[in-house]
Amino acid sequence: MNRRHRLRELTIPFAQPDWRSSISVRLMMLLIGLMLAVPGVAAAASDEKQTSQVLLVYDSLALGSGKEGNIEALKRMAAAFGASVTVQSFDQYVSGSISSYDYVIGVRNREDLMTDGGSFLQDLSHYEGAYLHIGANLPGPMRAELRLLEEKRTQETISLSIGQLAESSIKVSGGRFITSYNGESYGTIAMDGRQDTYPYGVRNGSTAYIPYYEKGNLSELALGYLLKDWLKFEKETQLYVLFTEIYPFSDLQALVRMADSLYDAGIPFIVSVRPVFSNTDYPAMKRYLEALKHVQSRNGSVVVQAPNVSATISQDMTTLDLQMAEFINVLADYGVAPLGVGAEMYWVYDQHYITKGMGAFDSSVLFPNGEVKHMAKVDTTKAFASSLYTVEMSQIEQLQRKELYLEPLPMDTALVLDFPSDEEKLEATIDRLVEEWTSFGDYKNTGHEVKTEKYEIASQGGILYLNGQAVTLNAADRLISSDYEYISKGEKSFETLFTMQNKILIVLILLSLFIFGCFLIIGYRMYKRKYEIRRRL
Amino acid sequence: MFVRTVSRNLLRFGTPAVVAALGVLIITILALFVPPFIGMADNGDYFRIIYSNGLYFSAPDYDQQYLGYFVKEYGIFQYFNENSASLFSSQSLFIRMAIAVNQWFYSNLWFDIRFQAAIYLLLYVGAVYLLVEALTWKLPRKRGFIIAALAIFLFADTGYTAYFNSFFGESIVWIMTLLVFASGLLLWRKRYNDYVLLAIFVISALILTTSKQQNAPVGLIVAVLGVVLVFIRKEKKFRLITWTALISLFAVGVGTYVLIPKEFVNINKYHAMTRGVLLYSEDPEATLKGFGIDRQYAVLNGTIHYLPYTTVDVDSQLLEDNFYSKYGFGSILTHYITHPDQAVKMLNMAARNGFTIRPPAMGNFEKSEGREFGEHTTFFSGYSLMKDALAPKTFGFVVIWMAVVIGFYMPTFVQAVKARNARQQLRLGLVLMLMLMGLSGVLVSIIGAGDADLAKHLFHFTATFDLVTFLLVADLIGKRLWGNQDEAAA
Repeated sequence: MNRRHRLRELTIPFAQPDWRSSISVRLMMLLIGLMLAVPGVAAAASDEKQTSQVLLVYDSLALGSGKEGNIEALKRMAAAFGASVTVQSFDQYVSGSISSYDYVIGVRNREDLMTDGGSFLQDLSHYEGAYLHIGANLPGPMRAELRLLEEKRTQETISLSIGQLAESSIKVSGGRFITSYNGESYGTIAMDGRQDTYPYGVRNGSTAYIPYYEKGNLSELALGYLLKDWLKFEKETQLYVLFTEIYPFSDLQALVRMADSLYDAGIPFIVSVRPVFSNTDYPAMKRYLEALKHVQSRNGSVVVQAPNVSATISQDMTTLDLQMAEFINVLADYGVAPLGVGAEMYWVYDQHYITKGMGAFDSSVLFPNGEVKHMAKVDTTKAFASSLYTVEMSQIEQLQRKELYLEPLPMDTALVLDFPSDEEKLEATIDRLVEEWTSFGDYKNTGHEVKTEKYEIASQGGILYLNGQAVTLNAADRLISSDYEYISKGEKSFETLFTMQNKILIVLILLSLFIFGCFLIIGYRMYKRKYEIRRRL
Repeated sequence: MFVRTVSRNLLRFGTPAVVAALGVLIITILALFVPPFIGMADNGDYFRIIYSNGLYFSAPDYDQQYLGYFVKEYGIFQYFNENSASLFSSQSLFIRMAIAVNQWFYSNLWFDIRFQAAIYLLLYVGAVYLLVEALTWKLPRKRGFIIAALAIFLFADTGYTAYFNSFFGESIVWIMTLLVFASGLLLWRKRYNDYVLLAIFVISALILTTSKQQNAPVGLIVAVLGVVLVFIRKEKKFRLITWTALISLFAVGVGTYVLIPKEFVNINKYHAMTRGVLLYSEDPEATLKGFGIDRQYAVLNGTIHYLPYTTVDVDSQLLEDNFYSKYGFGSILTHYITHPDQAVKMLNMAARNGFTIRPPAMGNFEKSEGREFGEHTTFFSGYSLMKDALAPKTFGFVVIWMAVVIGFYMPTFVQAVKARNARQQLRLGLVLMLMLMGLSGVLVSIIGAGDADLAKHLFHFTATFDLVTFLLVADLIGKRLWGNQDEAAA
């Protein structure tokens, strides 16, 4: 056992096979399970802290520029801090509404956009809550409060470092760099070929400023460090490993093998599984469930991935809640306890998806948007008790680290990996994770709740509960038989009568054929005889 | 004096063909151009064809009108249109023509779909005239007018004409099939100039072939069965032109298949397996194994990708690598040949949908009319309603119908073969051509997309069934079925 594994042994005792097998640990787990009043644990936790109401106002989505997507990334990050975010453009802002928010974020993506900010800036001048400004044109009062001086450069290549992460060769055009400020600074920006360094962002009490913010580089994650303090978010955070692209027709044996390997290495993980809405009694589905059950027994937590939205024109869109509940029930019937829902960002800004698709869950994992297919778009998102920010594992790997291991980011974050599609990639992924020094969190250690009419599913302290009963994690796989009656043979009536009728008809037909044959032979003979008589004549 | 002149002129020019054409024109104008305007609601297919042709959905509540209400006004792009043609279709020609006329007479900003309907209607009325003329020429007036009345009953039915106020390719399919048939019959009857008729025949067949992806086999069928046309005249020039035209048709048929955009292939391929091959399989896992596909895909059995929420995206790489790549048109065809019980079940299912002209999913009225969501018109719909209600919806009936029709036309065909009269052989050739077009529609639908959206996919079958049945009835009324074909191809 190498040093890293020994370290894990100390930090995650239940994940170690040696420990796990011990009877005392099992008894301890059972006792904890019985002692905890399960239902409402997560809800109680979420009630402790009131949800932050955040207003995000922007001038432009900056489509087609390097800043495209930063509003969406910001929305996802704010959601990861448990905030309820209302997003509006300057044009959409309703005068006077600023006072109903505790926190306001103003984003100016376009310096050249000739907008005075309208009523928003007027309201902002009287606003007394917390204000974070991102980008150009920081309003005067905030500038004064931060005692801010900055210099502007047209084109620069910078290196950014924050926490234990760093990234170099980031190209910034039209960038502003803080030269003097009052308050606390976050991160460091250095320019290639220069000695001077500049802070990435600054905060003085409830006023904060970040001049540069783009999606896809370290500045995206760096915002989290400032946002955590600005939103007064005090919870301890975790890093998780999450696998996506898991379908009923993925290589299930590979999934089981991967789960075993990660379990042996002491790495807990999350699988975001695709829901199935029909044929849930098929042997193929049973195999899928069996594989998920095995994953669950190997410290794998299950979250339900939002279904693919294939058509938004159908009028029959109301069944999503029933379909999701049905899938959750199918999982739970099989002893698999899903703990959350994984969805693209736009789902939480859609009344239909929020209520019908995510209504059963109090925990979410939010992915960047792919193709946005809204049904009933809204400006304000629902805050989840737990919401994971997601970053592609490859994106993190491209960053430089000060240490071999990665400390948790300011927000609960899932490092996302696609479930490998072939053997070679599977081995590479397992090796990649096993060689990783970072300590990953177990999703079921924190409180999550999922409710359907049939089940109340919860997790707390590493134990899963179905309707208040602790779930026994059993890795013994059951062999699923392929025998199944796919086409029901339907009820048969008067079967004997029709069988009899068939037999009678067959006899009649054979008899007719026989008589017809006889006539044919007789006729032929008569014809032959007549011919012979004629010839004789 | 004046009245007498008018009535004399009416009698002189009021041939059954004119009466039929005028009847269809008036009824269709009443249906499509007089409130409440009748059209077809969008089922989600419009965007592919209209955005690439410079139009966009301008109605703010367009999303709420899908499937339910007919929308007659669209916006015309005023700036560079970045939407490349996602759909290769001859329908674009007509849309662009309609936009040009619209811009000329109405607006540069807004497109009224009724300009397109007007263009289609003109073509349609011409096609009806030609068809009825082919069937009633030199026929006693009384019989001729009975045929004309039947033609109005059939061709003015809003089940067919409502398509003109839509962006569905069915309008083109219907008009061009009618033109192919009419010009073929006129060639058979030796009415009008052969070169002009040949040109109409070939151009209509070309437009028909390229109007929809599923019509790719039409080009091949017309090219093969049209070979008889080569021999109706002896001049080398005519034969050379005809050969060239038929070879071009063949090539266009192949080309249309090759140019099918991938997105369509994926959706249809998905349904071909989930709503076709697997649907009636007693052991879907074994069936999948036969195609070399992982048995776990059995969970997709019976799923429809048009439903709002699905397990997997139809365009995902996973399906591309492990599902679609394992089968094609040929392997599915082989599967049905080796599993005739499944094939018969699918054909029967097709027959159940094959007699519905108006797809039940789409409404006919505008939202402003205050009608119910998805409500259908009953205005001049006698034929389509009757057909939907009365047709025996089994594939056995289709087979019997084909046998009866071919049986009726066979004697004159045999006669023509014996007499070595190519022109007289044309009629059965045309009947077979239409039957095969219809059947190819059925087969392509089943093999290509299973039972998904059958009512709409089988439009060509229902159209050819109507045309052939109309010919049969007209020939019975005109006593031209077995009798002397005298004037037909003298």
